[in-house]
Amino acid sequence: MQSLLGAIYRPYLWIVAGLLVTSGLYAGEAVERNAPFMRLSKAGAEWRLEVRQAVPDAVFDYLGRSGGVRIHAAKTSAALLTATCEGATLRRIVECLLGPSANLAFRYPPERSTAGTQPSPTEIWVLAAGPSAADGLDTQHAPDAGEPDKVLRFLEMLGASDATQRASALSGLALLGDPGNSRIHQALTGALSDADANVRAQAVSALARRDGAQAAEFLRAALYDNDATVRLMAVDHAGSDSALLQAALADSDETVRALAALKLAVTH
Amino acid sequence: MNSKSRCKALAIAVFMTMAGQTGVATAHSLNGTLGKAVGATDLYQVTCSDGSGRLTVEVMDVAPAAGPLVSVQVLKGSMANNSTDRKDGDANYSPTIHTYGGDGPYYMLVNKSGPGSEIYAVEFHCETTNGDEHTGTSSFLLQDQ
Repeated sequence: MQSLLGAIYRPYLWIVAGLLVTSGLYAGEAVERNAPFMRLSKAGAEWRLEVRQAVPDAVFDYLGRSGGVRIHAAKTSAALLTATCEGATLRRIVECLLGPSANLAFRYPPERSTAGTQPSPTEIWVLAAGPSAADGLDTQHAPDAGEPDKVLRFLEMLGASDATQRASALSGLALLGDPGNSRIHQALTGALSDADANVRAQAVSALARRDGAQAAEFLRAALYDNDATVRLMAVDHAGSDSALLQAALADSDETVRALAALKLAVTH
Repeated sequence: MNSKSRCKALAIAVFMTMAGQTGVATAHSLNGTLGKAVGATDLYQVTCSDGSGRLTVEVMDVAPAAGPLVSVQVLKGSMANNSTDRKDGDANYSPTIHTYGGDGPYYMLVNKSGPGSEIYAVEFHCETTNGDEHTGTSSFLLQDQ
């Protein structure tokens, strides 16, 4: 039976892997949704920063070390950042990362006025919070004084009888508060045992997005959920966890298996 | 042609297509999934840096090769655009859409036409208005369903 299933399924895995490649997800620089990646390069006068699924604090730290600039970030959100930014100066890179309305301050080297070209700052202060997804398009980069209220509102919504409300609350909590906020963490782990599968899936997603690699144990447990939506979410956030992905190849759901095959093709 | 032969033929076709696409730039690609719920929607915020004239987007329904169609929508201010991958299971993206919202943040939504989970790939980049130059592009996931 096993070999029969393998014979039937193997061509399908090849097709999925092929689709992945043709979709541009596996061509040299593989773009894999949940594998954190950062690279700063310079071609001629242009800086280029590629960031994938990284927390803003880590991006600023990397950019500072790699670009030779001190970056002071007062507070950033837990939202993972994916970006490709190019610019003549590191100022442009930071502005691209945080958007045009970011509240930034710069210190330039003393010879700035005589250089004749665009100098890079020696220090950058990120005065506003980092990307805060729940704040809306126009105000997302401004400091969010109402964030504690939003956290409270979402925590209250987790007690709603309507599963859609509970799932929405978890989606909101994924991007709010400090990454180490224990109240949010407890709420998310508690929702892993919710009666509704969409709520559990949102809890898995929120934990993965907030905790990164530290959420691995939750993802592995979610792979044994009785609903495919939850298992699909676990595989979606598995990153390069080959043990999880290998286990998912034997899943009873076709899409879960296909996603695991796709991710294994990218990461191995 | 029996089903096994069809599978092999499709696999060969896919890999021939792959060979033709080697070296294609892939800087702004994301893959994601949509859960089985009818209204499942992934929401991204894409921010285009100064000098951008438009956001260019296309989406591909990667797997399964059946079930609901996958679409992408882009919103900026009073502008909105939609593109749907109407042929499930091939290696082609949906028609490319351009949203001429200039620089700043855009919403990008990926959703589907009905129940059933989906794996998708979305390709996007900010460009100058006439599309002759890519500009700074950043994105992050707001909602993951």
